[in-house]
Amino acid sequence: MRWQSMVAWLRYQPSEEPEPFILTEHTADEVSRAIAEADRSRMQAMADDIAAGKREKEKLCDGREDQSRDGEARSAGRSRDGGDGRSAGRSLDGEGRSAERSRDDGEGRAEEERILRMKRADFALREEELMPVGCAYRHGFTAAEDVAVSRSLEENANTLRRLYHADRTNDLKLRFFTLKSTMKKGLLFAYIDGMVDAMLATQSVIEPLMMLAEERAVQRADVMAERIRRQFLPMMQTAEGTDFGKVVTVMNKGGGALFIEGSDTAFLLEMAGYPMRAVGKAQIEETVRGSQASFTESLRGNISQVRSLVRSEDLVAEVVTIGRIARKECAILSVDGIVDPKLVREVKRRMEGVAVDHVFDCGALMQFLTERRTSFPQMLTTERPDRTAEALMQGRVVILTDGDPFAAIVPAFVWDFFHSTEDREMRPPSAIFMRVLRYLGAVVTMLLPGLYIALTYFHQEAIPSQLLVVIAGYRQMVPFPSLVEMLLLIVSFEFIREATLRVPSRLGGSISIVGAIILGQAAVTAKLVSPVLVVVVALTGLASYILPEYRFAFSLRVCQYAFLLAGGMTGLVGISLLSVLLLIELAGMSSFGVPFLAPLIPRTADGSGAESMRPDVLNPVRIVKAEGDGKRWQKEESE
Amino acid sequence: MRQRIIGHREASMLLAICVLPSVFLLEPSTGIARAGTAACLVKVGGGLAFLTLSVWVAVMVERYARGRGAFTFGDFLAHHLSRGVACAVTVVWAGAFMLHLILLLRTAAESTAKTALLQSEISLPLVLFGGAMMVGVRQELTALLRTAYLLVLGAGGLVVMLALLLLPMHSAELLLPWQGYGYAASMREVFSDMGTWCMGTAVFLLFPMMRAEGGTVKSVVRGVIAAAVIKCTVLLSALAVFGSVVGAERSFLFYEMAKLVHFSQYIQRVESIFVCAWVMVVFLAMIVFVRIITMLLTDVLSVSDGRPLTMLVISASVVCALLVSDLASAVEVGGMLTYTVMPVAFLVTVGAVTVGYILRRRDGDAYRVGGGD
Repeated sequence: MRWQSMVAWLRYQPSEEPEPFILTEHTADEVSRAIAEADRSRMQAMADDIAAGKREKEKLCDGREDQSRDGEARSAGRSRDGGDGRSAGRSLDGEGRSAERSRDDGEGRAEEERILRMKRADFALREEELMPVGCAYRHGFTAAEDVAVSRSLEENANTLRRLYHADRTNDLKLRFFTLKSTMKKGLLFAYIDGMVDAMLATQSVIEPLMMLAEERAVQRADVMAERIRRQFLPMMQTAEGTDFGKVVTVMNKGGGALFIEGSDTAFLLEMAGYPMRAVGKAQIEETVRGSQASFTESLRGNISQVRSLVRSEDLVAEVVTIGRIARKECAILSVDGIVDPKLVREVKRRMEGVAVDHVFDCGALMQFLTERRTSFPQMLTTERPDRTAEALMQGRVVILTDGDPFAAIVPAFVWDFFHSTEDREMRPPSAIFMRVLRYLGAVVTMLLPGLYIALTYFHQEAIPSQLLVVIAGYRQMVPFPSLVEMLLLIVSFEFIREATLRVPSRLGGSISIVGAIILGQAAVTAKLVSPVLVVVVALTGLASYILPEYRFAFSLRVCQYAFLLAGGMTGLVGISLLSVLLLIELAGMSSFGVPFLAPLIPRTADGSGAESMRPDVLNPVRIVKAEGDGKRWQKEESE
Repeated sequence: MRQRIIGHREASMLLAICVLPSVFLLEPSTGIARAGTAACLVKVGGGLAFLTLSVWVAVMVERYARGRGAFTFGDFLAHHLSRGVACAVTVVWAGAFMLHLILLLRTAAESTAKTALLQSEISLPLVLFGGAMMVGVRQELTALLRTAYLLVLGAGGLVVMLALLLLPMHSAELLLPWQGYGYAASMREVFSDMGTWCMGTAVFLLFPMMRAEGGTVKSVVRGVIAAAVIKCTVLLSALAVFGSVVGAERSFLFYEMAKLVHFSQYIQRVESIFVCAWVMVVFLAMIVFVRIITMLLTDVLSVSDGRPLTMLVISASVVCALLVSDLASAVEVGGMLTYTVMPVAFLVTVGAVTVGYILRRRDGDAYRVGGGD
């Protein structure tokens, strides 16, 4: 009987939810008071239910008595009809048993209630004793996502302290305050110092809540929470979180979390106020014409910059979080109705499949998204919103990373690395000339040192006689072989280049002077290198700067060493073999499934030159970009 | 086995890259020696003969492939002949490609040592080619064929440029028929010359695994035309510059022609630049040959992964190329293989398949859509 009672109590669910279990303070007395209060309400509800059950039972017994009376009448009738009178005796026995049973039930119920009360008191005591242990157990071994927001403010505060290692860091700020209401409900506003906009937090969260009018205050926590959200939080972006996974995600991004006493839902308020760079001029991709704006480190700001150019509801920005420890938000931008949906799915699949602890920028992310390891970049990066918008309108996908002022454009073809935004600002002949110049620059960057060495070592007959005489004249005075001489100069040039990038800008001039005087003049005077070689290396260095994409130019510079060694050891044959290997490598590469050398091979309709079509290789949903050549006014004039 | 769909351009370049390397090496001089001033016509005749038979095989293979998934050329042969004959034919073709690879390697190394690496021994370019092949062969065949497309275009452009640069040295009278053996006598060489095209069989050998997007027939026609244009340009230019007598005496006519380029005092002795073109084409062709041999051996040996075989094939070809005593031996063996063995092998294969096709058709079970063997 006792055991059954205990089970009944454990399974007991009151028909109406009582006032939630609230802990305002955490002294032992208050905890026990609160538990006792909760117990009282629960027991009251239980007693009410029992009483209701008793009433029902009585009704049932009454019904049985009526039935027995009916039976008696029927049996009397039957006896009149020749019955043996046994039924009358049975009904009398039944009446007596029913009365006895109801008396026994009343006594049993009272005993049961007494036992239940004792058990409740025992459980309450145990719960009080074990609560800290339970909290520690739950919080010590579970991830933030698994910890639910508690109705107790103190428990929530403790959870946050544990998650943010408050014993070692002090940038987690917990602001407790009380509502101006009859219930005096407590609120907790949690944020990370320096990440939120303090002014916004004060004016939009704390002040309105502190001024909450008394008559508007209500007792039920959930109703009050809803009223607070609707009437007292003048924030643009509010969300609700029931677990600490969401809470810390928002707080890590510079948001705040508002906990309400008695409510198991936290309000997540976006109010980032950490220092961010304003929109500035493009530093890497400077152009003479066109927009001068560049991306910043703010993801939302960058998306808005793109939106300001692609003003269409079809521009979709899907946010994906990458990084298991340092969670970084990345946005996948595409224009619905233009881009191939398969491409978007593939990009999303790959991004969701990045399983690393942290990714801080677009370049690092690229390493995890591309198919094969090669020195050539397989994603185009740009700091210009106008170039990004152009790519989106071509049917490509753009990846933006929070905290990185560069956008990654996929898929990318090798030809894209020779294009500049400025090309579209110019008339076609000028743009073509510029592009040819860049292709030439790439060839010179990669091949010139190797070709020079190959020709001077193995194929002197290919050098015009007068030039050969000049080269030979200078070579006479230099003690090193040409290959060593060339390596010396190229490596020195790399030193200067790296030094110029790393030193403070004020010292940049002096580095250039040192490089020009020491390497250019002193080395020649000291007869360490020949002047012809200085010209070759300087030309190679200059050519590498023509390319608009820094990473692609860097890859070519890496290839330059391979060609130099091949040319030095086996002449033009080695260079030819290496060229074929390089071509095979490029032909085998693909960017998100699209061949890197397209649309040249595999041959597809090119969309870059023709203004009316998008590149066919991108498989866009809408391939036609413009009606005819986009000059309908000419037709109208002729008509 | 994985089936790939390749563009018809890549498929046609597979044919072109397999038949073109010899045009930069000994084929022009051998062709002129065999047919005199009619070498170009013989080349066209041989190409047409190959094209006709190839189109017929292509039609049969395409009909067989209808409704089927991935299959090998061996399956196709087994369907028409028997499994044993199919194995034998595959081995013969693998051997033919292997012999061609060895001879190409040897000839390329020899000519490299004679033209580009003058101070080196034959073993250096051989090892150089072998090492580079080991790197290049790791890539997918699709990547190789895309590269072939670029290289064939580039080589074709260079050949045309060479012909134009030599235009002042061309003598039209050197092309007249009585300079050689006469056209009628030379026409007998058409059958032998078909051997210079037989490496194009690669299109059928790899067809089941590399189905061309626009159809094999289209690929074969385009490939033969592209290769014929380049071959005929070289032959005509060589004949116009050297004539049939001198042309037959020189070994590497393409290189000899490049040596004659002289354009102002700044563009002279640019043969080394033209050397680059043939080194690139020959090198790529050798890599493709290795892939073809590996794929055929994988089919015959029923091996799931053919990658270990590539290293074996390359090593064996380098060693065998070193065993060839000199260039004359290579030329002799190569001539016999190209002008005698290959046409016969090609005709026997086509004939056997045709007989099988007819017999199957008579039995009424040939080329049922979706049917098995």
